[in-house]
Amino acid sequence: MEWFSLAPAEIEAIKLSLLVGFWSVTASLPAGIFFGWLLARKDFYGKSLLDGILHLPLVIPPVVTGFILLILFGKRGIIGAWLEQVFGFTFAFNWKGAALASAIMSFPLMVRAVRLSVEGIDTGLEQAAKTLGRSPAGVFFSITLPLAVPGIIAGIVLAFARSLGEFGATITFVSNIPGETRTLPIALYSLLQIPGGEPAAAKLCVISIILAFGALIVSEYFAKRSRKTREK
Amino acid sequence: MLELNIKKKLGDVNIDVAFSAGAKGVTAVFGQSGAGKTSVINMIAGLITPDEGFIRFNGKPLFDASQKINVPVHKRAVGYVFQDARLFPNMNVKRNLMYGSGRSSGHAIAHGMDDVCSLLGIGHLLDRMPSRLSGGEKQRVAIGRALLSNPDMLLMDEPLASLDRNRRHELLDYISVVSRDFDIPIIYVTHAVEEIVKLAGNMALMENGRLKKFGGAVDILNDLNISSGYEGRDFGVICEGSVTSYNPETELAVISFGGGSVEVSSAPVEPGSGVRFKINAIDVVLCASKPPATSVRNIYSGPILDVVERSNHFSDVLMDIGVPLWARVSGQSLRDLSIKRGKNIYALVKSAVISAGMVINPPE
Repeated sequence: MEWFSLAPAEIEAIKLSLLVGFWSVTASLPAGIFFGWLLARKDFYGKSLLDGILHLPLVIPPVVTGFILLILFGKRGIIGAWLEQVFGFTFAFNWKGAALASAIMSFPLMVRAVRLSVEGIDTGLEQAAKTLGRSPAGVFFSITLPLAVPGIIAGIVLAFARSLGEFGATITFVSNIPGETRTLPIALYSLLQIPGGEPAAAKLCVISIILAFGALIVSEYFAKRSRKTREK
Repeated sequence: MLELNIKKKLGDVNIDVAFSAGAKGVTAVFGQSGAGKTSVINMIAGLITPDEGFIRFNGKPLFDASQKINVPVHKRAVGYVFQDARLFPNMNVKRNLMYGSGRSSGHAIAHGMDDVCSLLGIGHLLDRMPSRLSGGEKQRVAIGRALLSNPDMLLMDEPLASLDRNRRHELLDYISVVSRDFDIPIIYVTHAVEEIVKLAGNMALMENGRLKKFGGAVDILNDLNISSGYEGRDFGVICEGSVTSYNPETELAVISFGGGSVEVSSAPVEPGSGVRFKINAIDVVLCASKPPATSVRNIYSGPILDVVERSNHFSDVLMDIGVPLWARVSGQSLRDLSIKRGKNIYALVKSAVISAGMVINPPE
């Protein structure tokens, strides 16, 4: 057991986890910002229903989410079959499916962070921007979005950390395929299934903690920077 | 010209207001807090939608309930100066000032960035972030930002409310300059008489959401003072006049007004300037006969119109010296001078006690 070098399979799992985490966060970010803003600023019919649906992945068992994804996006799934037919694109049993599962599972955390941050912005500033002749879209991009940046960063980190830890929905939806869908937690789980795999599993465990901690430090750095520019 | 006639139910208050404001100059909206003053300018800006009525600028409707017209806020070309400045914390002063400058307006605006900065004394602040500005500086930047957005009119919601006394006087001077230099109507919400005296031509007096009076600011304030039964130390009369001469050595200005002329200690003013000044009742001394030589320079005479008893055995005597003048005397002096209606009497006012320097109009 070598503690300070990584086996190819371990490097593969780390790379895959980062790839899945990156794409799940990147792809869900625009929608996360939109829904966070929508829930913070708009009142409409069915708002609590939407709020409930968005929070669903947080409360239902991940295996259930994975199974639903399989029904919807599997090779013969309702949306999956159509995607394959029209675009030749599939989420089934590849890293994209893992990214989708991660995105769904981490989405509520991102929406929550954005929503709280937008709610903290004085609506008076947005009113002032309107009286200065900016359209609602212009106000959003010049005032609301920049002021929500600290909350958006928090949302990104939370979602990324959640992605790194995603297990249940992923293994149910896209299985456990080395190099394709075997992310850090799934690799860790696999190691525990074989006799004598504990030391290697412990190593992956340490790596997971370091990655999550690193994400936290990076976010703290950006949050501090955005605070500083305001106080110049 | 801004015309409005609007109704709106807001909680327990029914706003019901109709008035118009000329092409230039300040129209004050005055009333107690909760009278609905801010709601009125919010409706002019489009931040609140009225239930009924219309708002027109130069004949064009900004809102008209019967025609179902409601121009959105960002297309109304109003400059709004909020009580709390509302500078954007993510932009420095320069970017705040430029924020609305993309808006084009019907009239060619003669004031650019440099003019506005020197007018408001904010040129040295351009690189600062709003969190590094004092309250007065913030409010000046907010005024500059509104002016640079090429507005058709300026709305101001108690812009001095959050400032301390000295800053208030300073900013009042800046606003006064703005009202003279910019050819746009200014609607100015306040509950401070001093600000109206300094700035406003006309005023709308509001009470519980309703317009109680609309007209010349000086007349309404003088009437209001009497009808409200106010008897504080600053009870008095506001007069309007014009400067006939100014002596820089003695720092005395001679002002001609309805009652004749008055000498007032004042900061330099140009002859010909229109000014307002206030004579408080407690600063007026009454004399039964023409006084011999005294140190007092302002002596008037006229018949007594009314005697109003106040608390603490004091009475306020109203006399006509060409304009109304109030004097506060004790019950004892009232008897000694045998003051009663119709009797002719002399009034003395010290130059030093008249607060002047409230230049309304520069010489033509």
